[in-house]
Amino acid sequence: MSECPPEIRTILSKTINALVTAGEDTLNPGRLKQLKSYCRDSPVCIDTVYHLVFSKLQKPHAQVRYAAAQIIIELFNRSHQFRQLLVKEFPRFLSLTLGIYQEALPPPEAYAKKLKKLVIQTVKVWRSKYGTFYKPLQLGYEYIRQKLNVNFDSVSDDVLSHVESRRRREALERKKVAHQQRFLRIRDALQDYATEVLSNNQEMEAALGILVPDIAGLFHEDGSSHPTTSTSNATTYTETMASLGMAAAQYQVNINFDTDNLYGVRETPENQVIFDQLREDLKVLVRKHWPQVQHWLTEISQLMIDDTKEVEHSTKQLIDLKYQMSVLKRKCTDLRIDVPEVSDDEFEDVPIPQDSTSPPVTTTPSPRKSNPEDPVPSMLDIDRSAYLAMANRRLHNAQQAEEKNVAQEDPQAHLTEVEKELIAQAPVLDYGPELHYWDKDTMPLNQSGIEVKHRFYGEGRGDEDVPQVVMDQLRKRVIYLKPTRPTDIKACRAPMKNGQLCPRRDLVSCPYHGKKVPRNESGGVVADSFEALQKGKAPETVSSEPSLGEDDQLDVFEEITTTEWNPAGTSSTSTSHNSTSQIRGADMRAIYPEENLSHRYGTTLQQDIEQDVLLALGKPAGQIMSPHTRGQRSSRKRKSNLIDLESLQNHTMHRLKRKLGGR
Amino acid sequence: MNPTLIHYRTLGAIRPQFFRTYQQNHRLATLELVASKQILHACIPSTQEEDGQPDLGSSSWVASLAIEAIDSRYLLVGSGNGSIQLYDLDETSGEESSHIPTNTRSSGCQVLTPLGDIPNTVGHRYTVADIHWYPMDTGLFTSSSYDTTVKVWDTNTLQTACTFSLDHKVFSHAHSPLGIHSLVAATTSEPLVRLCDLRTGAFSHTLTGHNSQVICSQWSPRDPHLLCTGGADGTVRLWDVRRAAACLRTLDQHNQANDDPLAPTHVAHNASVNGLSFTQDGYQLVTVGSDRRIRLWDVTTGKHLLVNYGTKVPCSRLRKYDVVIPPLADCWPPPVFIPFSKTHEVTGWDLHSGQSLYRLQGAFRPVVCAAWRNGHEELYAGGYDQEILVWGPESHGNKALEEEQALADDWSDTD
Repeated sequence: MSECPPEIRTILSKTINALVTAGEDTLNPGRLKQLKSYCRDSPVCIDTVYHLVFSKLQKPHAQVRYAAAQIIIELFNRSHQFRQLLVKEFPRFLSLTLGIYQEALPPPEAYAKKLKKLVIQTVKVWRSKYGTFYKPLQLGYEYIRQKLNVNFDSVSDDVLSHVESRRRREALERKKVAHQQRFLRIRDALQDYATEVLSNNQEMEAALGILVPDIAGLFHEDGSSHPTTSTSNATTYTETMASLGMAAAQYQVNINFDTDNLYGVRETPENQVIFDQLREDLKVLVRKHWPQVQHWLTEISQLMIDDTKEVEHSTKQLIDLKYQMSVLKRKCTDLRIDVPEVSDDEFEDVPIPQDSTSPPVTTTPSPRKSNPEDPVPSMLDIDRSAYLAMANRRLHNAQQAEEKNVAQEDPQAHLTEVEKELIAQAPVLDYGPELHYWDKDTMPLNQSGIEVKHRFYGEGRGDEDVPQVVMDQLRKRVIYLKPTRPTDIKACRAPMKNGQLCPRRDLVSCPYHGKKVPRNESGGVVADSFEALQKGKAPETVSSEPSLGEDDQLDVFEEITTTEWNPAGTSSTSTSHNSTSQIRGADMRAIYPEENLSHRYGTTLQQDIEQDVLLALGKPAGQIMSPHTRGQRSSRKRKSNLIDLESLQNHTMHRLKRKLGGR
Repeated sequence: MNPTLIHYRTLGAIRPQFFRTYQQNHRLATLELVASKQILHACIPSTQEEDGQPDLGSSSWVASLAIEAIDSRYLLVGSGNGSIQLYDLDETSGEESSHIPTNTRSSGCQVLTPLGDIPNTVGHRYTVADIHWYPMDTGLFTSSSYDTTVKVWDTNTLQTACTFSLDHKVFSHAHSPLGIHSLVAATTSEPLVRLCDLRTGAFSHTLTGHNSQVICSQWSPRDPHLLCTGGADGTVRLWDVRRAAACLRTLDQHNQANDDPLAPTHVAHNASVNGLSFTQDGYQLVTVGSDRRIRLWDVTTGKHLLVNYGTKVPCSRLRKYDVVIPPLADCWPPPVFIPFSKTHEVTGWDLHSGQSLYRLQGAFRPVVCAAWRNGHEELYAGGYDQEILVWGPESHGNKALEEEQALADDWSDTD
């Protein structure tokens, strides 16, 4: 086949390029017509067009591929030669347009979806029209239908996401299977474990039963152990009381709680065995069973299991176990049975005999952890509200009594009126060492009794008192001043090349524009301050010689930027470029968070900053793009109507980061 | 067929050999996917799921292919899941089985169904890495698998006649095409070549020499005792199985002037040798390696013939690659076909010039194995796709009128 003439080839290439980069959903009909007329007139062109379009199809931009696919479809329907060419490379065509077998379509996503939909619809049409003559079409159709699981009858918008959805579905299924297995493991383990926990619980129940024999009867109002069953028969309060064995209801009953020991059960040598046993069991419960059950509960709640019945059953079992254990735990707390801390395991607690009158208690009574929400001891089966009412009353009484006491012991009662006035005026100070020495005139120097003459320290002068100078110093109050950082730092506001004002907020001087001075609306220096500035240094050179110590409140960043600041052209005095650039990079990021900047000032500001930073780093000028070239570049970019994929990568902040990071 | 050529031949103006070569080359030049033949491999009922979704998880992909050389009629397919299928390539299309889904049938297409099927419960447990017909008789075939066995099968009963257990993953095995002896050379993931004797059912030789796994092997079609093996150590070794010190020579890519044919500096490929094949006359040898090169060797002198097949051959995985060289009777100059899983295509080169001739696309997933059907100029290739693809000469049959119309250009007046 003869080659396509180069001039026609150039025209074709330009036309295809224009078609593909138009960035519109439908192809330009005029250009397409031109292309088609070339193809129609000379078959030689078809070969060229095919290769040109196919090369466009390989571009990593879905929008370009979409347009290229449209051209291919147009020509495929018309030219036999084009069909033959495409059919030979049909798998490649499908993989480029559908992203089959471990290949994915390039961004932007919207166009990738459109492309997939278009191609799938087209393959359907092609197959019905040419399927019998072109085997690859048939194969491709079957592949899409079977392997990609596309329903050709109802091509939806989200047509090829089925591949991802299938992948997701498969992953979910795998996860489910894994969860099912995990659940079965837990369930089986739970069967064995539950018996262990239950036996432990039973043991504890039994031990508690021995210690506190009749739990229900302990807290009846009369102190007797009759259960309150007769209240239903009794009609009046008196009768109730009579039935309980109290002839008169007029007398008051006072019940005093020993808050340390509610049940009057103390550990004695007789019941020590039971206490030991309880302690042992409680230890197992708290250290082993409780966390295990807790762990399983959380794990089961996170599993995805279809068989909810099984899960419910297991969960219920676990919750029951947990409840049982929590009850036992509280009972033990009430009996002051604690599990020693884990860290104390190696050292046995040896009780320290504090006074001889206290009963022989081996457990050191820790301060009772009062639970304000629920002060009712769990072991007592009593009416909770009644108990609370009673407790409230007692508390109220106690408060009243305290108030009286306070009133009686007023510390200012014996003072005179003058003194009271003075006290009211007197400043209240925190107690400190100076107040300790306030009223002391002399202080003995050496109270140890050791002779003043010393082998090494030499001989004392014989003064036995602290010298007066030292005493004065001791009486001085030391106050540490906390300097307040300025909260509202003014911006530098020096005019920049792009016409905006410098937004940097440094304390004293901007690393790019020198010392901060008051400026007017347009960034010009206000007259009086300008004089001050002239007296000092010019803005561009002011920071080349850092004036350290000029201001104590320079923060670290300020110091670094001023010391390392080096305007373009002057010889570098910085010690290490590497470290500065890193610090700078970090600070730049901290000071100018990307989104803030890009929102507020647009990219031009960042470009300026980038340039300034690069200048400051002493980068060769060639590496910095002049605004002019940048402008050209951006204008060239703007020519393309495609979605700019590189905009993110080529963002000036990214560029700057790259440059700074690369050094 | 070219009428002018026939006319010249009738006149006696051209010699029969020229006519034949011309015709064959013309046919080979137009290799394309054969539309009239469909070998559905993965559509065997067991792999078809109920809800219509294709079974992607099952590994019933095609791992190895073999077409017998006597009648060029029967095709053996070794699957990735260890099952083996037998196809009759000349099966008439009238006997379509009912289990093939109707929507996959296309009009005028010959759909081939397995003549016999050895499920993986009976056959191999893992991938059938290599499968071969016994060259003398279609009543016997052998298969080797990653389940460490080489099995000998009776074709008529589809039963195992003999099993050689090699204790290592078998990459390939080879029969001598001359039939003087009945030794099967098996290469495994250990650095040995075992020769299995079909007559005794035991190993007769163990050839030692390779330093690493041995990937591929082939017997010379000219000398019945000459065996060639390629290993992961990058060496290609020629063995004479009659000698005690069996290794004759190692091939060297740099053709070093060296008296010692077994010099340890001899390296055929800079990475593992993944496939090799003799030409039909047995004078030349083609090897392909993971260094992404194809090399042509002179077997008699052991010289590298320095033919440039290109530098970026997509051969990278450590498995046996089929190297298919059609018999010289079918075409001259002979092409060499290698299926590449990475590019999903079978690539063909001119054997002698190294010029790239074919890029047979059609598969949507990796192509793993290929086989040539003698006398039909047909290339069969299988891989992860459900279908075994067939490339054959363009059918210059009598095109129907409607077909002519359908395929004609369709330019509208407005274009």
